[in-house]
Amino acid sequence: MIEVKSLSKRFGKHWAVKNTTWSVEDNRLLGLLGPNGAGKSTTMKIMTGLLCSSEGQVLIDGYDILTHPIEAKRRIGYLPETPPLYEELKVVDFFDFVCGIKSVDSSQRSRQIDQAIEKMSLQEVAFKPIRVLSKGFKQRVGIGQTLIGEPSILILDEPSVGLDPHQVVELRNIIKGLKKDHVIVLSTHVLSEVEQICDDVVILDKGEVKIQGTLQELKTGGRSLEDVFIEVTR
Amino acid sequence: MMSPILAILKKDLTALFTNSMFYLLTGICCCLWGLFFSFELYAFVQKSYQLSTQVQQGGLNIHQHLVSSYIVIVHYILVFIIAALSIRFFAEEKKLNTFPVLLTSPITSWQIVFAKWLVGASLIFFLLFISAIFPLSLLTFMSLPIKLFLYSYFGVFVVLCVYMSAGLLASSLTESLIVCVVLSLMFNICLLLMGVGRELTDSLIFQELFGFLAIDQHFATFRKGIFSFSSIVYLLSLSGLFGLMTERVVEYHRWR
Repeated sequence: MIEVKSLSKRFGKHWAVKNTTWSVEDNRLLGLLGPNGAGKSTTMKIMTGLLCSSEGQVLIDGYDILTHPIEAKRRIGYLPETPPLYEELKVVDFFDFVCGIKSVDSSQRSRQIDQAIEKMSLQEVAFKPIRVLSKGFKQRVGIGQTLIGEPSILILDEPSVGLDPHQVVELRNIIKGLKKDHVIVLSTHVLSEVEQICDDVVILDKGEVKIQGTLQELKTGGRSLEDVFIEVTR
Repeated sequence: MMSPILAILKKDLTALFTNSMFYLLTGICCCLWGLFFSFELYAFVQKSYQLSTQVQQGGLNIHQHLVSSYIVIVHYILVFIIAALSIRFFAEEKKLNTFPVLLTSPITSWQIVFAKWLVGASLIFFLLFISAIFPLSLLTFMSLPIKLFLYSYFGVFVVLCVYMSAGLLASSLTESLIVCVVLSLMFNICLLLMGVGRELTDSLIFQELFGFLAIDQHFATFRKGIFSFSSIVYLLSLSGLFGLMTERVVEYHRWR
């Protein structure tokens, strides 16, 4: 479970995130929506310990990311907007490296690497250097590395950016498949994607939560998610 | 505790040893060392020949007149090579956007910095090993004072670790590869010139203080083949100080 409580982040005089509070229960997929500069990526960076909050706290399965970073990070798999890949490494070597930095027990390593390769359908490229892979495969390798260490929470920052329609559909199916074992927080601009795979939605604008609830709650009165988005971020 | 450190060490060394630029730099080093060693050897043979014709007692000390001066050249060349290779520590991670992998993993900033320090130390060890091949080749036809040789090489290893730690700090400060090399060179030149303070003061206390702080003084001790425990403690502390500053800079990335 993730709990974001009164979270704020200031860069100089600019508040990128202002007093936001929301949470995600286990086995739910939350879509974090908002126009560019709404504070989605900043929120995700704070949730993963990449940035520190100015105020408020983020609890990951009860562990504060600021005061218990190691315990909290053990439970998180994070895919930034640009997949952080060591392009000179082969896919299996990269996954083995991630096993190492996440202190995965040596008896568990090959099983976890095989599992990540299987879930991401990377069998045909597993022994190829990452630099020769297509954008779609690189994105899958990026998501694959989030699965190493068997975290309960996946935080995916715009995973479908730059992919062609076929790859977007493939990726959407992969994320759907991951939902049964993980809490997932997904940021995206593609509202149709949210309507298809998300259970809960938080819409941010100018660093503030404009609306939050389940997808059904937001779409009451026959409104589409697009109508709601346009209305609250106007 | 050690698993993440070893993982970073293995990954960085694999990346380095599969990089053509590293082999190019190592090749340039080998050529320069080979060339300078030949000059030094030629000068040593000339001096020895002159001495033998002057009917003097005893020959030239090979450590003092050949190995020691060769080590100075190895040291100066490596100061520049380390500055160039320091981009691999953090600047390249930031430029290629791979730094979040480390920062969002369940490891501390200390573990990241220590792993990178070990990468640098391994690199220095490898390059020094290559450089040692030239003087060690003399063993095929003459004897070398091995103990003095090992002490000198251990000393130059510790001295170079200080320069490498300064490169570590420079690398953590920027994501521009050029700025990183320039900063690293600036730090290294400052370290090289620390002893100049000695000449600028008349006070005996300050002269002694600068004398102790100056890396070249400690390096001179090691070159003679003297194993100085206090020098090792001082140089490792200096290296640790740069490591501490690097850790603070890495941590600052989260707080900016």
